[in-house]
Amino acid sequence: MADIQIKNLSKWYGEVLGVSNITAHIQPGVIGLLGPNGAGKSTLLKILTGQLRADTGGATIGGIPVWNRIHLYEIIGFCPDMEKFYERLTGWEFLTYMARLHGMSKSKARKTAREALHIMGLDDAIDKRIGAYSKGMRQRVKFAQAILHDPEVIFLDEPMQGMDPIGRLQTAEMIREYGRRGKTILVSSHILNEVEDMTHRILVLNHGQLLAEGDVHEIRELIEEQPRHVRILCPERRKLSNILVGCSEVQTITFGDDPGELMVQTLSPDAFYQRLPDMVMNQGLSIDQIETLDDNLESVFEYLVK
Amino acid sequence: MNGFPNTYKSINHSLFQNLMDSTSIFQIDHLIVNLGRKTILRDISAEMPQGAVGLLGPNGAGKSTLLKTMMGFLKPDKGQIKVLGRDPRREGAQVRQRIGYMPEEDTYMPGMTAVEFVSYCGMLCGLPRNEAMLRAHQALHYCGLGEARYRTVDTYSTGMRQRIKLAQALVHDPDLLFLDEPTNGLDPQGRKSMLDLIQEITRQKNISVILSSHLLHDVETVCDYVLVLFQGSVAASGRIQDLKQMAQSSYIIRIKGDMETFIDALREQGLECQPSRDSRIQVRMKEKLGTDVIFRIAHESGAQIRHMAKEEMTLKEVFASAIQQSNGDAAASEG
Amino acid sequence: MPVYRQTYSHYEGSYLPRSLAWTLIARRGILHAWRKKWFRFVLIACLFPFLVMVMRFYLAANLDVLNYFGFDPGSVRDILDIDITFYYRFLIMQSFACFIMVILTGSDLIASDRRTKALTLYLSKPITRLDYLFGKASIALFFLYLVQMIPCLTLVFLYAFFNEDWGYITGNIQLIFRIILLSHIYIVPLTALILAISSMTRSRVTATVMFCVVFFVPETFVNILRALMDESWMNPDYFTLFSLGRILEQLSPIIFKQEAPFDVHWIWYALVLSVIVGLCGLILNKQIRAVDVVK
Repeated sequence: MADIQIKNLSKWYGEVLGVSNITAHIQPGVIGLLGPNGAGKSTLLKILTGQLRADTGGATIGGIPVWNRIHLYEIIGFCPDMEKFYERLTGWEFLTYMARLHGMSKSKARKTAREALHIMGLDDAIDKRIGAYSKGMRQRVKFAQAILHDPEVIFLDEPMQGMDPIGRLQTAEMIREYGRRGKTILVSSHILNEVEDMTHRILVLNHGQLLAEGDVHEIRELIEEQPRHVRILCPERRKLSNILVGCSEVQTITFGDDPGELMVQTLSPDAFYQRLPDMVMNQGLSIDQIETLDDNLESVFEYLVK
Repeated sequence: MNGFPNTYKSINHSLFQNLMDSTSIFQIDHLIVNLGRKTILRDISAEMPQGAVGLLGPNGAGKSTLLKTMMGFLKPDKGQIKVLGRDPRREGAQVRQRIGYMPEEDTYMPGMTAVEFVSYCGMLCGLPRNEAMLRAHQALHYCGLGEARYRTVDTYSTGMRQRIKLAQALVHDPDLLFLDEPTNGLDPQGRKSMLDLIQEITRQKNISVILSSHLLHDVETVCDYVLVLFQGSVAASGRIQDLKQMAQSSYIIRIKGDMETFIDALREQGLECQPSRDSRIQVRMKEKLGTDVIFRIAHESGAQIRHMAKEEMTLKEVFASAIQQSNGDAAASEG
Repeated sequence: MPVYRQTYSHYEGSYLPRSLAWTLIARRGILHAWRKKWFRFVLIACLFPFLVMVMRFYLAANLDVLNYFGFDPGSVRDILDIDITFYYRFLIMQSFACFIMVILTGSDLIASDRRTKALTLYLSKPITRLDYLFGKASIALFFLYLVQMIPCLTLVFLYAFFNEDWGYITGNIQLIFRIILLSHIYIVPLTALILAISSMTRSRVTATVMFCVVFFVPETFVNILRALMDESWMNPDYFTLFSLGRILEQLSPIIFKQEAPFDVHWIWYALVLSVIVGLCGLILNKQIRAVDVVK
């Protein structure tokens, strides 16, 4: 188990801002690293993997500072976002070399490489040149390379880019599995609903700044200025709306197009949700469905990144 | 220009007639396509109505081969194919005249401004010069590139390249759009606005779309119909709503409060339930038992119900089960 | 007063027939080349001999002008005299301009489309591969005609014009045919070769280098072999069949009934030349496709 401590981290490229004053403490588990293009995700990943030196501040992984420490690479694995690499090697050769670089003996490196390829479902492509791999297979080899030495912390930059649906499902499951095993996995991705399937912990960057870090729903609670939209399906919606009108925490009530649909906006969701079961019980109403419409990753992301 | 025969006008008319008759964007009957010695499409049959159709399948399933056969680039070895009522084998150019193609690759024509590029594409499709210019401006505005339309395409970012690929596919007012991975490389906002745009094109502009994508969520958002290919055969096809039959009567609940006690309370009521992802609880309901019981437990335990909805199958599950099934079929037929 | 929302609207008008598509590609490419300043400069430089010749033709027809400058017309009359071999020499001189032009306009024609994968875009439009190829070839052909055949034919016309002897044209129909035939002997193989080479690469520089290699390397070898080979064993002139430059060198004098440099029947050269053009056609047929067949 290793955590990531980031403190007052900043990085410039000349006059261009990479990341600005980021402070965060990342506990083991799967964390989605989100943000628009140019938000600083790749810069942050490069600093955390020791490829770039921060201009101010710093970070430690499992207590080891990330800059210029060779031991760091024993506990981290990195799957970069790039298309081409070692086109002439076969997948197995490539992974064997990588394993050798981690200090494994020749026989152990071969065995580890074979196992990693097996985990990634690349058994058939073991002796094929990487140059002949599809996009999805390249991603798997990159992923395999990141987990060869069983690291505690894994950084994945767009690991599913270009994969087909089956590859995506399998990779997501694999990432969840590593999370369950207590590894720290930072996954950057643009596909929010896929991130939502893997984790509910996120770290959102925009313009190089940290916008939010933590549980999606907790972050949603903190965005107070946006009223909560709740969709309720209730056969007796007029009766329900009459009661809701009396509640001080309800802002607006609208009738939707679907039968029994009622849209409620509230600024104090806690009080509202607390009261709802009581009202339902007391009035003998029955409710078929409750949906909090903007309490998901997509809306949270939208509210944060404007 | 009046001296030239007005061929496409008449084609348009007969095409329209055809659509009125069949109202399908393509019909495929026992189609077999080989590439070299390899059989890519093995005896597939499908028909899709007007609207938005998702084309799904793992790598190598034959999606791009199907698209390329429909555009007349590949000649089928056997079987019948009709796109917009025409046979792309004999009338490839006429079919492509009514199609807008947005390729997956990052492509553009070098050394032109956006307006030049899009109007040139319009002219290649048979628009007169002035019309092509007008429609190029319109298409660029519509695709959100209004500000950047006098810049050369070489300087565009990935997101803008995706948009201009859509603009060049739309400029000649096609009846059918082929979109190959249109959200590739876009960030969440870019992806959302691209999907919104595609949705508007299909719902309000009456242009049919075939969307080939690896992102099931994109297909689910935009499309009404789906065609799932697997190893060159049709694994599933039809209306997405029909394919997503309700799972058993079960509810997904998300609460704020102590999950353990809530689950214990549910189990005490004899309900089968298990925690699922994202601190949700899946509850299997008994026949005729309303949701009152859940509210009663919430009332008693003081937990807040943040979400409570009948569980619906997602396209992801539809896809997974379709693939699994045809995988099993293939294994059975081989064994 | 109506209110309009800016949006996408359907096209109500009619579409032009497909037969015009290649002219669009050609027009676009010609304008694109013309836009570059350095290209215009080279083009004018290539036409410079033509301008000099126009002056010479004028002088030949108006020798009296020389009196004005204090020259004796009689002394230059022989130099300025124009016969059929003059056109031949002019065409050969301009074939060098052809070589420059074909590299400048042709090397990037298909390479640039392969670089940005624009071939897929072109072929997804209602045009055929032949339309595309014809359009692209027209761009190179246009500039080659512009520096070789058209100036030469213009000179024939100018001769008649300056001498006010229109019978010169009707009396020399054969000459006009020879000029057209000779230019095509140069222009068609050069264009076919540059297109084929351009379609095999993604970079203009590679295409240019490959073109020069195909043109000059066999020529060097042929020269070496001819120097080394013992004449008693076989006619060393047969080696010239392997060099495009030598083929053109042999064919052009024959068209103008001049003495051919090599001792091999011209039909062989014509045959090899058609094989080269045919090969280029096969390469283009293979390269210009909307489908990449992945093994």
